[in-house]
Amino acid sequence: MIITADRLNSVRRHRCAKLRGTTVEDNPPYSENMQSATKLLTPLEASQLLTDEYSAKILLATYKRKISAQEISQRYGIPIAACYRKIRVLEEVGLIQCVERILTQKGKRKNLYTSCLRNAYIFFENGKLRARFQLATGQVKDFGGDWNGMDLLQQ
Amino acid sequence: MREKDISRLLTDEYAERILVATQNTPRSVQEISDRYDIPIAACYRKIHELEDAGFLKVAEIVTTPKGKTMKMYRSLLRSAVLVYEDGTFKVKFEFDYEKDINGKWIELNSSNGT
Repeated sequence: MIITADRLNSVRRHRCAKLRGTTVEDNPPYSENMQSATKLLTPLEASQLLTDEYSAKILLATYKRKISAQEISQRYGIPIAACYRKIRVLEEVGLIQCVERILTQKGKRKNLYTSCLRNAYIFFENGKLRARFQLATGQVKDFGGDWNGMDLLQQ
Repeated sequence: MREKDISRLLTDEYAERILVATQNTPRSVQEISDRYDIPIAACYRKIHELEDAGFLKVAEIVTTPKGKTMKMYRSLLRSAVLVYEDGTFKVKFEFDYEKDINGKWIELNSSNGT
């Protein structure tokens, strides 16, 4: 699984389109360019996923346990809409996943989420930001190895 | 300011750019704003936040040809590490000057949702 900035954007685009009542072409205009399609999140975006107050709470709530959005929202004091939105983003980048869809007594479907993130490291050194995510599968994702944003800033 | 807020400050887009900008050379707020594309008011606000948190200091105060005084800021942060392991967050900072939290791991225990 590749975490790309495009994937993040595509969720937003689809949701915006849904709000406007239109549809989104399945091929984003820049998808012909393979380079940009596989562009990783910047270290800043990656680390923001971790240090954002709600995201951090969700990651802690789902760590080694199955929990529903409703329960996270209540227990950690996250507004329910924000909770769903953050869960969607975290799920898109693969940091959490839905492991079970249970039926409540009222007959409503409820998604149970669990965290895929085991360890994460964020370094700020010599004016550079780097991030490393270790997933439950043993996969390691590095951000900042090929960060060109910094070079641009240091001109 | 608490460590949790400090570490969030690190991953703030503007704050991060400011820290990079002032890494080796003292710079003025105006210059940072221009070169790094940060709105001037946000730039002043962030710089004050960073200064309060001990990340920046005024390296010198220069007077412009027009007679206005201008503060030049320099970053004091050498490195920062944020780690998420076994369901807890911890941070470690290294500053250029003596500070009680230098090189110490600080746990940001948020399992109770704080």
